[in-house]
Amino acid sequence: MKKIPITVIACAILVAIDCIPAANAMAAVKLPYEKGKTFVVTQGYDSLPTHTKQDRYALDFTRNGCDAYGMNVVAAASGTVIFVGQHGYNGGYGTELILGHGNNIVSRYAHMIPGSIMVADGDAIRQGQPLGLIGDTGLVIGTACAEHPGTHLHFSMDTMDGIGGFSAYDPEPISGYSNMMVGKWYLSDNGEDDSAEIATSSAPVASLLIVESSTDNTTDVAIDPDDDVSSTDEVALPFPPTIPDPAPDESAVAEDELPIAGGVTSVPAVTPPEVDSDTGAIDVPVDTTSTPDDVSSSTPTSTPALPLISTPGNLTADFDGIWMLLNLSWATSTDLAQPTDRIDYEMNYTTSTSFSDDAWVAPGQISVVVGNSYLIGLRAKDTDGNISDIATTTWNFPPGFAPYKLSAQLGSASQYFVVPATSTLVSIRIFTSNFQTSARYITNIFCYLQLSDERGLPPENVTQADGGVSGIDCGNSPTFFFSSSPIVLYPDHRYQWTLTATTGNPSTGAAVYFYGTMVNTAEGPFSDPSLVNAKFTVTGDSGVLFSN
Amino acid sequence: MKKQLRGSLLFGAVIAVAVACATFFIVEHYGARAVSAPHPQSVAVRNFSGDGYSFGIPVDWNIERTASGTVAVHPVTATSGVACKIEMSSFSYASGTDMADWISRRIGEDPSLAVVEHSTENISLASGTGVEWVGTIDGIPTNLVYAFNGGRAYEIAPSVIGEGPDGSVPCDEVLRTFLSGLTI
Repeated sequence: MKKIPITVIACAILVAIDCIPAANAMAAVKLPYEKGKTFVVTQGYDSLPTHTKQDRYALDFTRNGCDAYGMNVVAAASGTVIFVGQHGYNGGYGTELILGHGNNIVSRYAHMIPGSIMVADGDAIRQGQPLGLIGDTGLVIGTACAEHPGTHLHFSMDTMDGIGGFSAYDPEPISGYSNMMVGKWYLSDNGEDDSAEIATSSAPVASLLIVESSTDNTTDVAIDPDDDVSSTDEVALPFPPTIPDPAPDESAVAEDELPIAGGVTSVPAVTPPEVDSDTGAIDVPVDTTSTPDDVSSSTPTSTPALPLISTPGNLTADFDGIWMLLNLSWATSTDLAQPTDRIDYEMNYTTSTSFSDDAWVAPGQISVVVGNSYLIGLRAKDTDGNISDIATTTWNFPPGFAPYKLSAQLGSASQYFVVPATSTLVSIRIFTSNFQTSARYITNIFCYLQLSDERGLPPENVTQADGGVSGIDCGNSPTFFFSSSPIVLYPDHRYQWTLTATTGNPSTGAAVYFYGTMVNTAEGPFSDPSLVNAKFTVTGDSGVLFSN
Repeated sequence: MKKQLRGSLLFGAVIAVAVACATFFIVEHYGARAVSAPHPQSVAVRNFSGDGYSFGIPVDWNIERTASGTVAVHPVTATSGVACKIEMSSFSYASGTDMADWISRRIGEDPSLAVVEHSTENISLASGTGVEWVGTIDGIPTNLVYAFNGGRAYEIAPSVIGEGPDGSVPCDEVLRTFLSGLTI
């Protein structure tokens, strides 16, 4: 067995940046996104509010709309992973990664999609190797992408002083560019050699889709296509010279980082590009109907005989009747031809038996109609447009899940009553078999009954000090007994019972809503007049005091 | 006409009584630590549940979620003109771990950050409690809220993503709205 010198092991385990020979420390820095892609700088060097101090040489990159969201972040230079923050705020950097490049020089890639980082602490990284996916985590701003506001890549470089201090490090030239500025678009030449081994350690996690049923149709923010749109856009002189990225297809809205508080909210505007006669920058007509057509040397030129993407499998659908969520899960796909390609998923759903070709959509909200059977489909698509086979499943709303009226939603059900004679209250029974709730079934929901005497505002609470009789299962028309603390009811008072329900523990359980499908009559309305009345019986020590 | 008016007034009073009664009950039921009652019946909410938590937010807020236990909510910027993003991340948390130590380790996780703590205090959620950390990170004023539930810890981080016409940064209001609907 080959022995590995302990110094080598130490180098691999400990902070690796100092172990990389200076001679091989860092080749020329390249743009931190894929070869052939163009991004615009939205916050440049030494600018408020955030690109100061150790971030003085930071750059924020993005593209129009949500186009940048989910695109690959690649290593600006070869090095070793020294910090991965996969989740959380991380001081505003969100999901971030720091690479060490030797000679105490590090680079930071921030605001990525949670869970998207493909490498781990200590991994050796090649220049151009994918690291994660551009996102909007942490402290970001922006309005260009309504679904993921503030999507951008924060890239900066620092030097470490060895005692925990970081100082800004000038990364230029980057891919041959110098004096990089806000509003300029830059074409990346940063890609791995075709012969290079791809060293991603894991695919992005993307197996859960939650589709919400909601009362409104508000989902996206429309971006005014006229905003800040120029008829021509300048493309910064490519390096090396190549076909420039077509100009943006919609408004370029600056995105940036801001402090949480303090009121500093200026947003640098993206300057419409201009023709530079000295450098030969190129005018490119704006195509407002298509996304930028990225230059890629690896785009397949022939139709494959077999699907390039494996079919997503194990598609399942489950409806959470409490929260009105349709949860889909599936096994992720693999791009067999280009494993590093980003894979997006598209879903389709229909009450028919086949899918409409034009109904494939990004995962989003489904407005379901209770009682229907839905055919749900899922497919994967890579950045070259190759599409997988379709995984399908069907899902039925269960019989008995009554049509619900969100307009009649009640956090609690309540009803008024009066009693014919003075009596000591013994029990109140609510016939919950007549209730419909936001939960699929009314059983296994804990009910709490409050009784009030409407003699003043607010009504006096006449039940026990704990706020009511608690912890009774709602199913099977529960009876709430008051024997432990006798309550006298008077005929000239008006009383109100209020039934509240939660799932699970009363202190942590989720509220359950009642819906009005009751058929009985009683004195007084529900607090929501669109509901008919509930059946209930009030019993005192002299017998039934009220029954409807 | 007078009778109709009296009927309307009576009906309004009934509604007011019902709402007041429900609010009273909920506050009583959930205890004095509740920052507010769950969303009133008249306010449409979008409910969401995750690993050990759930929340209700106004229906005109967007929800982003990844499969990794992170969720972000934000009002629709085009309609409100101002917006904050509230990002909530979930972490494993060993039962018995000192919460203050956990928070300190968490905030100091990134070796490149200069962290200065100004204060920490307990705050109330719709159900459960949290700890609000106030300080600066790399000189940027920062508020973070942490909550714990069994084996999970949750980090709630607001970010400004716009400003009001008057230049205000009402992220705190959005954060409080979110916390008032959050159950851990």
